[in-house]
Amino acid sequence: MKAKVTFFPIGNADTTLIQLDSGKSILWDYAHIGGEKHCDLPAELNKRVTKDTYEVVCFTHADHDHVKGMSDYFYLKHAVKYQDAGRKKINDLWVPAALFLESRNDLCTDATILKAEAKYRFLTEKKDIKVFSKPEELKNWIQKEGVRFEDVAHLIVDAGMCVPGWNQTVDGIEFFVHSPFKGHVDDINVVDRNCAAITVQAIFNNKAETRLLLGSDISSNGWRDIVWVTKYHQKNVNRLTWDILHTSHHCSYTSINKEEKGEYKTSPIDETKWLYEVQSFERYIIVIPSDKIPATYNNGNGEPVHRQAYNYYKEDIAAAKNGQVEVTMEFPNTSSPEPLEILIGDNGAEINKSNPSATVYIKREQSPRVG
Amino acid sequence: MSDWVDIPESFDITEKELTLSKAQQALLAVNDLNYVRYIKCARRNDGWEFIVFETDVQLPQKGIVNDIRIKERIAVGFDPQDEIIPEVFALRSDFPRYLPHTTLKYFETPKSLCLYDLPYSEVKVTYTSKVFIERIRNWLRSTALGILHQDSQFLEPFLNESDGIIILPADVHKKPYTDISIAGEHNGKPIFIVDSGSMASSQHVVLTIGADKHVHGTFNYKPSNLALLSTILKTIGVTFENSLVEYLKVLHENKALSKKIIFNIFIPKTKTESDRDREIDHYCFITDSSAEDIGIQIGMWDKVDGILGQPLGFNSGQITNDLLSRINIKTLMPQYSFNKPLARLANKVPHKKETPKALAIGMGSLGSQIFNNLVRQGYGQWTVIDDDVLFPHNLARHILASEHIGKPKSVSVAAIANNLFTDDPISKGENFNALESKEASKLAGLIKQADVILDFSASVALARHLAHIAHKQKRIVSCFLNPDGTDLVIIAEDKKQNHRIDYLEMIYYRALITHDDLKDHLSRSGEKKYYAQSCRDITTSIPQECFSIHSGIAAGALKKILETKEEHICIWCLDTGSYEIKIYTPLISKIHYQKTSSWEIFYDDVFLEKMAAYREQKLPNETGGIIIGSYDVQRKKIYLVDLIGSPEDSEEYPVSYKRGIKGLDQKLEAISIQTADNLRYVGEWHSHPKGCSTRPSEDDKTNFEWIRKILKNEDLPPLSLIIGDDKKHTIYLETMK
Repeated sequence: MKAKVTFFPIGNADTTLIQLDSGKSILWDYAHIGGEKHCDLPAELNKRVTKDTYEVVCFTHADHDHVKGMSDYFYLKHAVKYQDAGRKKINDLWVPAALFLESRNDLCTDATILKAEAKYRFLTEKKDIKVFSKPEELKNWIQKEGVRFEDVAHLIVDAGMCVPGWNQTVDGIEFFVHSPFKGHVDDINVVDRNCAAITVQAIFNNKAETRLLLGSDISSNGWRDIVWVTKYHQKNVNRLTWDILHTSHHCSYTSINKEEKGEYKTSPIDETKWLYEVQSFERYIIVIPSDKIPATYNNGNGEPVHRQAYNYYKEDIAAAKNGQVEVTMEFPNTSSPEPLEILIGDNGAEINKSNPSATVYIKREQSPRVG
Repeated sequence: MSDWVDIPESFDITEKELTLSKAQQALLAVNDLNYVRYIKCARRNDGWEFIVFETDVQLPQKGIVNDIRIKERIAVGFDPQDEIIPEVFALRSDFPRYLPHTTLKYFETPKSLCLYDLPYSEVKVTYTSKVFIERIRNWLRSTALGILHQDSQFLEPFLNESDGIIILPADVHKKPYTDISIAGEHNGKPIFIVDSGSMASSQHVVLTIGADKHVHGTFNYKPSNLALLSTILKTIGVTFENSLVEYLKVLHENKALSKKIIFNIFIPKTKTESDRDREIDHYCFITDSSAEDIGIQIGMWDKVDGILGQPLGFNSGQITNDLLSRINIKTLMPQYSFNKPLARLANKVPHKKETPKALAIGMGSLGSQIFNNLVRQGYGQWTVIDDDVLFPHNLARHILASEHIGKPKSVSVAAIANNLFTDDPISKGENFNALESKEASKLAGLIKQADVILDFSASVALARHLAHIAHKQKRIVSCFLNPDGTDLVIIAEDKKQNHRIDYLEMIYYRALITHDDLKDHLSRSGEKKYYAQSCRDITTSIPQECFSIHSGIAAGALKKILETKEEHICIWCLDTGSYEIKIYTPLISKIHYQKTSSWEIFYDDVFLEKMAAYREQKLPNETGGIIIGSYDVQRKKIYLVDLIGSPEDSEEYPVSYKRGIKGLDQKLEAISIQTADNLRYVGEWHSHPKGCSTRPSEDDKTNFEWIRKILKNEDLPPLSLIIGDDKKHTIYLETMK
């Protein structure tokens, strides 16, 4: 079975589209930032997904670089004003439990709307949604909202299991949930939202069983916890192997070593070193969803992109196993970035690096209007 | 990290120093395309300009069978005259050696990639720099995955350049070469032709060397002297020096040192290491030196005062590359004389396939062209009969040429066919008239030897004659054009000859009167042609393209038909305005046969069913009409083919029927025109009511006498058919009792 995974040049933001041979489309975050040289995300998505529904849209967490513009693009059930023609429907909405439980007040508009939509599906309709992690606090919140926990329990997905309804053989893909797990969500007041984000390994049903690790914005501490838990439950160690790594948090050093950025290169903590260097397969692909890598080593405000992190990915990981590292805003070049497509087939994953001929273009793009 | 090599004999230049427009275009493309990064420009001493760049190769994680890397360094070179296709070199020093579609231009490195299997003149028509570079990138990806060389392609040759061509007898392995002469030239290179014959008169001797099996891949650069040949041969397990020394010793002993040596090298090649199927490359290398000279050059012996020394104690280890390099050679690509296996290969006729022994009668325009189409395929073993000679007007459409004027067509076409091949003759010409009784035993003998009789004569008389004499002996297939040459007809008996050619011909006529599209088949103009039933009439004016088109179809169709056991009738109609061809295949049904004391009667299920349907429509009344058919008076045969239903003015009652005449005239006239008088009135039919027998009533007998009276005018017998329930029927011929 073939599949395609597409990453979009949208700066320090995440949107990943998974398209299966069966015609099913799964979208991992949606963030239409609209910055300089960014692609027109809704247009690029609609070029690829021509039907009106995504089978799954997963918002890994509610930061603006993962949700921005979603209320303009999707058909939302909870309010008529989000239901005009041309909006894409969501068959199944996946959100982390933290969306409901966060006590912080800095949610952006789209995150607030997403929260309302998720709540409507979860507590009112009690369908077409999956909420990740099963903390005590979620139970309390559900009851506080006047809903019986048992009525919605089937919509809650635990870490350490595969997302129900998706089977590698039958559906062509399955998703093993690594996070959020209990600790992340319960300590919501002290743990940052990134750790409560949805992190999964997707396995495709091709001969090579290609594995895609979707890191969302998880930090090295998050990875550390995941590695510990996974190693503790030994049987799932292969659930942390990968052919394609969606690096977490836009080339931030924090996802390699939260404590130490490094001068020239970030040194990994033991757990991230194991994950990045040992758990990868030959000729893997690392995708860094970020702005272009800066020439300097100190970008002032501490936010990604960090060249130190890039150097680690490029020099320490990629060189070892004939791997490739691509940055979304640098692909195929920095002057006009384009969506990065990874083709998945029986020979594993490969980045589409063909310069398309005119006939390929005309099949892919509508011609501009004529007078 | 990999090392890179440079283009030999080249030096770096700046981008601005590029002078060739294709090189400048390539530079622009390299700078504009994604996944391609410019490195530098260079110029070779011969003026070629090169653009060097690095490219990403799109590779998956697995399935990589050749060591192509994610990044490769490539140089593309351009000919100052733009006459030679741009050369593409992979500059990585450890770029794999034995890859399909690579050439060694400078021996080991860099490797040259072969991107097109078309001449540059063809490539130029659509060449753009970007497409060319993208093709290089595709080449790298496909080669990495081992999918560049399609299974349907021949394996790569060991050498792909030569100094000329040598045409060898097909039986080269059996006979020694006697002499080599230059027969002409091709693309400025000589074509040598070899005669084989007796060893004594030979100016040449042949040293044949077999190499080890090798996996096909990189083309080698053609060697220009024996040292280079030796180097190449070492890569495929041949120690050339040993073979040379041993052979020179033999020639010395046989006092044959004055002869020149042809080195005949056979190189088996396979697609993969484990592959069992293999192809064999064959190359010839010729020298201008005699064997004696070669011996002297390599230090094997010396000649002092005209006396040649002995090769005592000399061994091949003493031969250095330096010595061998003194002997120049020419690399010649062998081609073999044309023979039937080659003809079959070129025409997709399976090599071992049994093709029939054909007895072809009629070598006119159509026959000769069909024959020509089939013998050139190595198809069949032929005896061709015709009593005609070639006249000047025949040249308009016959395969024979003016030198054959006045000579028998059969003998001439057979000679031409036999001359195509160097192996056994494919045909034999017989110059006689197959219809003449004095040739009957000869014809019978030839029929006996054949597998199939192909009647290209377009003669009704001959078709009937063959139907008579070859029945239950050999399958007959008739093949002819209509008078305008627009339509081709093939009528073939089944292998068991249950469907006789004469009745199949009747079914063909029936198609002409029952199928609207065919109504003008024998008469396009709609007028009756009394004397021309086929294209045999010398005054017939038909364009040669009709013969060419139809003889091509006929050749292909005959091959297919002869593969089957079944009977066939096919009519191909060519629209000479649009050149569209439509095909009609009339329904063939079971044939019935009855014999009276003096006549044989033939009819089929289609005929009977039509009559039964008319009866059914009119029940409980009786109905009737007339029978359309044909006579072979000579052989006393009557063919019942079709019928005309009850005319409007007929009187139909439950117990009687009286046939009217309204419309009959027009219908009979149409049948006469449409079939060129091959179908006509042959008698009457009528039905009996349900539950009644087909025995004649008194009225029927009276009617029969009326039929007798009217047919007696033509000396033909009266015929009446009565049909009853369940298609039961009785045919009354000559008498009705």
